[in-house]
Amino acid sequence: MTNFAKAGGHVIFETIDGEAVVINLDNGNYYSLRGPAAVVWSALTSGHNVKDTVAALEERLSGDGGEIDAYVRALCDELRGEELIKESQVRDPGPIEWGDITTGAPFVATKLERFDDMQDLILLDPIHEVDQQEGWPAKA
Amino acid sequence: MTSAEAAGAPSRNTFDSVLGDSEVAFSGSAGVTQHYDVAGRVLRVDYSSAEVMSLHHRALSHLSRGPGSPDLTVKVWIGGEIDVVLADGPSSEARAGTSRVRGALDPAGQRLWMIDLDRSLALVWSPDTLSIPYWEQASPFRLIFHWWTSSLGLLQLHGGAVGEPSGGVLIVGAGGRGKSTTALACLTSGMRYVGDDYVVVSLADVPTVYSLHSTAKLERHHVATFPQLQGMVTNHGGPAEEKAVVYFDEAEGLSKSLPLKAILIPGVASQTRTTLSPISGQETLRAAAPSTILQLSGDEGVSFGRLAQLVRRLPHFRLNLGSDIATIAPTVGQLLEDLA
Repeated sequence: MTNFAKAGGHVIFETIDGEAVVINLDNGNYYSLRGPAAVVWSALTSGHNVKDTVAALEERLSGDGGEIDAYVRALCDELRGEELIKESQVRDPGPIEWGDITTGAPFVATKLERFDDMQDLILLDPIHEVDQQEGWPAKA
Repeated sequence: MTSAEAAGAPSRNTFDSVLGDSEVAFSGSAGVTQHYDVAGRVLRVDYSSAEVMSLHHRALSHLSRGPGSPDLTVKVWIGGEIDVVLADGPSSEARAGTSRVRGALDPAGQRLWMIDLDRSLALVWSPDTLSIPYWEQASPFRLIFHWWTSSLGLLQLHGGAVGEPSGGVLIVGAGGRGKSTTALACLTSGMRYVGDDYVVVSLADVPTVYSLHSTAKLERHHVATFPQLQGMVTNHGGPAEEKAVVYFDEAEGLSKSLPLKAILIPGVASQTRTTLSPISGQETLRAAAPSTILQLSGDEGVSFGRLAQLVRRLPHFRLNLGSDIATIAPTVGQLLEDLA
């Protein structure tokens, strides 16, 4: 079973009250994940695979197992499609953040919300960084 | 601009190369030195000439102070050649905030900013005066301030701040949502004004916002909203796409710093009166973070984390801007009274 991790340094995120805000620095897109979506984000970016994530949600929430399974798989595909997570060789996954989701709460599917209204900020600021190790390589 | 020699060399060598260029520019010129108080630190700026100073100093003049042992020295010059070439994009070290030498080049204007945090030395170069746009003159050294203040554990934000000496509010959010309108409505109603575009925040026991620039930039059609400011616009007759720039001083309400009591996310509402409404921490972060983070160059993750800390520590509200501008300041003032 494939484990996952955050796609790289271009993806940054913060979680407040169990809700995550994710920014893709490469393209300026940013995302909101609430409820179970934030739990799935926490699980996959801390090294869990889809199967373990489904099992954790099924154990914590009351809901149809098939529905939860389909939900996690679809969200995982969506996160990969947005290049926010990638396959990983992690063998020791970290803890899952549950926010304020209590044991036995009903499963209510929440979506990955995507915002692209800030992309122009990247285009407006065409600055280029020095790399301390590699120096200032010639522009391709 | 020439190129290539520095390619592949360690960036500190590149910094030294540009520093050498600056020494050539400064030799034989009538340089001018100014000291400023930036977020409680001493900034020394060596301008290569009075003309170079005139393009940068006015927006910083409210921070002027007497000479002192500098926490950062910036050398600013115009003209001559710089021997560097472009990088392809931000390095992972820069994004993670671990690199000690930073640089950025604006390919359009050919302007260069560099900092060596270990030597507390920064370099700012432009090929000619025409390459320094009006907004750079109104908000000088933005990148240098970001790299420097971030290394000090502070956070440079895209936003404004207003309030009373006992406490103020941070005004953040995407461009065009009413940050400047809110800040200027409060200023013209007698409140203190720290800034409307870029400010620095300390996450100390009492979160504090510090002024960087003494300016306000507003769309030209918005100037009529604030009749008090019409005579203060400094770039009358500029291109239509250029925002109107106004400079303030202490007598007009400018303040170097304020303790922070709350975060406001303004937005235009279909109502007459301005009101406040609750907003979750996640919504606040989502409204505040992208416009700050995506304008940064390096340290994005560090800055995002500090912004999240700030959101966790301060109460946050949506400021629903009504069509009656006169209701903005009383709404903010009442909030500050309630939070006192």
